[in-house]
Amino acid sequence: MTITTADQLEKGLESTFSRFYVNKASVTANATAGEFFSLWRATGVPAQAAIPTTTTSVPNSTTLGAISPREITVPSTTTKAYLTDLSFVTGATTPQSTIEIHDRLLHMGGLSGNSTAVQTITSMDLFTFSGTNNFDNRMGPNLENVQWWLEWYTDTGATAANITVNCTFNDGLTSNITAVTFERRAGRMISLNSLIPAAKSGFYITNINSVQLTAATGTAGSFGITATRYLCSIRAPELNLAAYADWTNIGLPEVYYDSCLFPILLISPGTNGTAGTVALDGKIIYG
Amino acid sequence: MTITTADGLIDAMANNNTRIIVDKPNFANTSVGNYFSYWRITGQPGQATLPTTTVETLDNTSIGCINFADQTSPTTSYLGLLELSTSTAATTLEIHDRLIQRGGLVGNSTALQTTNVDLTAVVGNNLVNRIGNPDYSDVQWWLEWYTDTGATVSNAQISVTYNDNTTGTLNPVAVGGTVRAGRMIGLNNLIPAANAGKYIDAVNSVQLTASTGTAGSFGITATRYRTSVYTPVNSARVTANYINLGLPEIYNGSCLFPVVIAAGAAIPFLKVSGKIIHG
Repeated sequence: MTITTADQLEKGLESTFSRFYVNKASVTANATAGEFFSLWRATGVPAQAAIPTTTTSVPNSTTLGAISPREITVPSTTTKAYLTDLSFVTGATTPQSTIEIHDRLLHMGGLSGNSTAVQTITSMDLFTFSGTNNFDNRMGPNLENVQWWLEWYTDTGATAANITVNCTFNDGLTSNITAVTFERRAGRMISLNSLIPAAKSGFYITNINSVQLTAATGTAGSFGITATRYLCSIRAPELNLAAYADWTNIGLPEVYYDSCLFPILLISPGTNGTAGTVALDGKIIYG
Repeated sequence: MTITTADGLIDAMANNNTRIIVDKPNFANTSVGNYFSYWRITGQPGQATLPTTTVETLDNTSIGCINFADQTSPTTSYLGLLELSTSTAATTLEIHDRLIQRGGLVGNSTALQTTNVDLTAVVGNNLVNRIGNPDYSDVQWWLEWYTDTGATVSNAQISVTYNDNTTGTLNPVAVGGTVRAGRMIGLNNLIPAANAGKYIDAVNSVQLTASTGTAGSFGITATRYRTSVYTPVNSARVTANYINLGLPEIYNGSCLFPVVIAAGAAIPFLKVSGKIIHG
């Protein structure tokens, strides 16, 4: 049922919950201070996910790499789940790093950093997957809740290049997002929402249609497009010390069944910007 | 209903809310310790249209504002969560309700530039509630820059009307030295001693003591402050919960937008999330 009272919240915290645990290896080799890095492909727990194929798909809680407390996989019209608590410890040299928890809605991979041809992307479309893996609820009622990213799976080359991303917006018209500097390492995520041009002000991305590089970077590598929905975050102000966030600080986000939860690391310059191991513990309660 | 109980707060936080997502690219030309408006920065929400010489009131359908749905009375909205990450440490984010604006002022004229931005004359867009205290003490008035003006030393002399229907001129404020696009200069702190205890309800005109050398573009904006969050470090997401925020009411029609107190010469990125809760 829906949690609507302090008593129900208390009951959920005490007796009707699942814990989840994330323990990921360092992505130090690729980390860049001040940037977002996906832990989707980092090894550890949950397991390293597979690189998405060129076919757009809707991952869910059973997809390898997802944080998946058992109950979230059970469709129910009566049970609702909420994320109430997070604790976060990071090691190495990464004080002030932040973990964001996102629901991974759509992804595709297989794009090359060594081609200047138009690389067409099919079905990367918010309106194609209605009914699949509870996509409608997970996407949410407002298009602005969806965050679009370029996500790197293996390194592309060092040669300078920009990328143009052709998008469809919710007015049904297409437009390009440009001037994204391209040379990136595996794990890196670049937000596309912040690059919506002035000409499309007031509109939101619904489709990604293609990408094109201005120059070959020298290495094909592998990257793709990912759409996520942000749930909550936690910051670790100190090394090797647990930071805690309760429901008031993470906003009690509802976790829809089939949600493909995964961590994104925002790496603070802190000391030298390298990333350490990540240990994350959380609680999802059920009403 | 309004939220009056802990149960109501929990229900709204869990089940009846609007998620805020702000994702903005590099804001160049900021300067330490000064206020800067994100009204005209691209990204999400979209870049607002350039204010014209027409005085206009804003609401939650205006391009550039943070979206949320108006609620049907007695359901009421509140800001229950705000999270900030930015690339510049010690940046403060303020969320304001943008009430009224007028652009089209130039920096290379010493003529009297009539503005007639008058809150007493507006009634639509739920402004009566959004303005707050009827003596206008909740309203913050600003000069807001849309494109850079020039470097030549100049002061702005600003004629206003106060809530007792008297008029006066604010203490002069420097507008030379190339004021950059996005800069906001607060006017409330320029109320002179002779008018202590009064509040501005209209800005009537602006006159520069000298041409700055470049026309640029700036205007008059009135906002109502709602809440703020501060990040002590760069590239880390900090959270303010409903207790920290003071659970400010978000009135129907509010045109919410970000204003920052800058801590550096640029803000390479600004990401904000949060929850407007309804109950």
